[in-house]
Amino acid sequence: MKQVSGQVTGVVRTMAVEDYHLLRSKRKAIAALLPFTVWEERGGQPEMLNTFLYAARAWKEQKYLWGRTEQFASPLFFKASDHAILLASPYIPWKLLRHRGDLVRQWAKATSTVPYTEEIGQSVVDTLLQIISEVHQLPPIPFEVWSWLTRLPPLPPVCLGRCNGTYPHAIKAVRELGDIGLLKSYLLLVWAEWDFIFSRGFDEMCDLIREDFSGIWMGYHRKDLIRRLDYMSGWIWG
Amino acid sequence: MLIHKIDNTTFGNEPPTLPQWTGPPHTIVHVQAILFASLAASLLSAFLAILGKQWLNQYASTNMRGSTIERSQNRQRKLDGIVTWYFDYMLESLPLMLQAALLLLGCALSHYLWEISITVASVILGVTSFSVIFYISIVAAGAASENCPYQTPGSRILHYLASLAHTARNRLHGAPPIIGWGLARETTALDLRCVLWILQASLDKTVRLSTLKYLATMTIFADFDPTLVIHCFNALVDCVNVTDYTVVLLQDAEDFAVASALCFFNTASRLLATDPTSSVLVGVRRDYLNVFPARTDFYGHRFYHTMNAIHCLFVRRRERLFMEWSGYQPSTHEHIPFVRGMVDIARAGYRKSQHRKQKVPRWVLRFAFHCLSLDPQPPTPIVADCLSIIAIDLGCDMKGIGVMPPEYRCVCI
Repeated sequence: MKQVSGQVTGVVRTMAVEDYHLLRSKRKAIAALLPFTVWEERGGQPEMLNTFLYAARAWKEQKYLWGRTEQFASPLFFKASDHAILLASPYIPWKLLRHRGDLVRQWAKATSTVPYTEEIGQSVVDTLLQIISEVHQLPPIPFEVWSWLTRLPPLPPVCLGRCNGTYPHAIKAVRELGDIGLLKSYLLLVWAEWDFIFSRGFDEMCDLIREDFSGIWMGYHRKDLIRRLDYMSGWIWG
Repeated sequence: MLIHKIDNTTFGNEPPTLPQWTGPPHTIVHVQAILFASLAASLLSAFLAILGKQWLNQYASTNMRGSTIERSQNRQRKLDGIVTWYFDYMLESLPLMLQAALLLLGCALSHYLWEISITVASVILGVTSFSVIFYISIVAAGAASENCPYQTPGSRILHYLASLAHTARNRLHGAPPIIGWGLARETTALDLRCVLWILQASLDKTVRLSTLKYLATMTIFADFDPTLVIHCFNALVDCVNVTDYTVVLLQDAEDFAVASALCFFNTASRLLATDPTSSVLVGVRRDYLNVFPARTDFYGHRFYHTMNAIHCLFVRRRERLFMEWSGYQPSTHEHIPFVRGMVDIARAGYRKSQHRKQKVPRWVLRFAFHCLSLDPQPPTPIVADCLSIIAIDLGCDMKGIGVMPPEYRCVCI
């Protein structure tokens, strides 16, 4: 079995680097590896999980690798190690999940045990944005989890959470927390040169900037937002 | 003569002469010695054969009264005595003595006739030489193959020595796994022929069920007769009835249906992998669709997933989309051959699909994903096979997949 997994690792890594069309064609097979990689990681062998993540991050489309991976959500969130939960959770199709409340709670629990790294930060923020964009009736997410937004981890060019995180209800969910720092971090994260903002989400953003960031005490925050917008407009217009 | 040499006057003028041998010629003496040896060997073997007959009569007699247990103990004591005193070797030496007597007779006759007439001697010599060569050949054949019917004590001794040498060599250099695989393959081929014969010949339901259950647990299908697929299919059809696309099992036929469905799936998937254009497969597909139309529903039966997998093998693509594996948690001894069958289908499906779009059938990939998702994890051979299905889809060239058990497999890119 080690020989097979070793060869699979080699093929997937080569595919991710050299042949995107092949990677696209084999995305379901790569997604089918997820359970095996998670169990291997639990057994102290993270190589396969790293390979899976390597291939999944090379995926350039704003959709899930394979919708079928939703079947693995329960085993993942209840039986995998906390590290694996956080790293693999962005690749679970949250939109298709049942019993999301329990899964979100398990995921939130995992975030409290794993120390922050850039890789973990990216995964957590990506997942959090996916959850708030897909899950309409949000289960209570601890404030500590929301605070991961303020660490502003650099999100990759293709990030499903950032892409879908600008739905109006997602913006509302962050706004309802009533924390201006968190709201600013959220905006700084979702304003990126690689994604567009949904038109209804854009209107919602305009409203929140007008209402929440007005006033003399908000100057510092406005400066950060303007700096970000300047950077983006500079990137867009050359 | 010596005295004459020292002093030639001792015997006067007449020199002494040596006495001549008046007995039979030396050749005759040699020939007779060999002939007597031959005769003695023949008589001794006849004598021992008669004694052996007496010993066997003694062994077969039930010269003891008592309970069944006491008589069984007596019988066991006799058997132990036979083993302890090498009785079988003793009896096996009798033909060897007769063969030696025959060889001696041939040699003696050839030697004797050579002095009289070379032509006549040539005939005897030719026949004797032919017999010796023939005997050596059958000993060699018996030693080379245990299945050879011409077994002799000599061939068994040779075989034993060869196996000793083989073991010693393996200990020195380390045994290559392919040897064990070769043996397993040979044994499996034998088993499959036995199974086929029983399914063809037996009408006893219990015997057939045991046979099918055994076949269902087999993971290697080496050199099997394709008609085994037909027999498994017939066994399945014998215990089900399809009315209005609903499957109804005949009374007390559930175990039989489950075992035969599993056997049918395993053999059909193997045949699909080894010979996708087999006429047997074409015929079975036609018969299958006559019995189980595409819309047949297997829901609620113990063999639901097995039958769905068989259905996916034989129906059009559209129906395969509805194949779901949730809830599939078989026992290990059923699961291992089933997964092996899925690997065969994956390989066949991958080969069949067009270049650049080569893919394992999606329902098979879903199966692999489902099995890998199970918690607790299935046993290692199942995980290895599921990983193999994914590896095939990814384009790895899996040598020996579906034929060899995982411990003998290798993967080449």
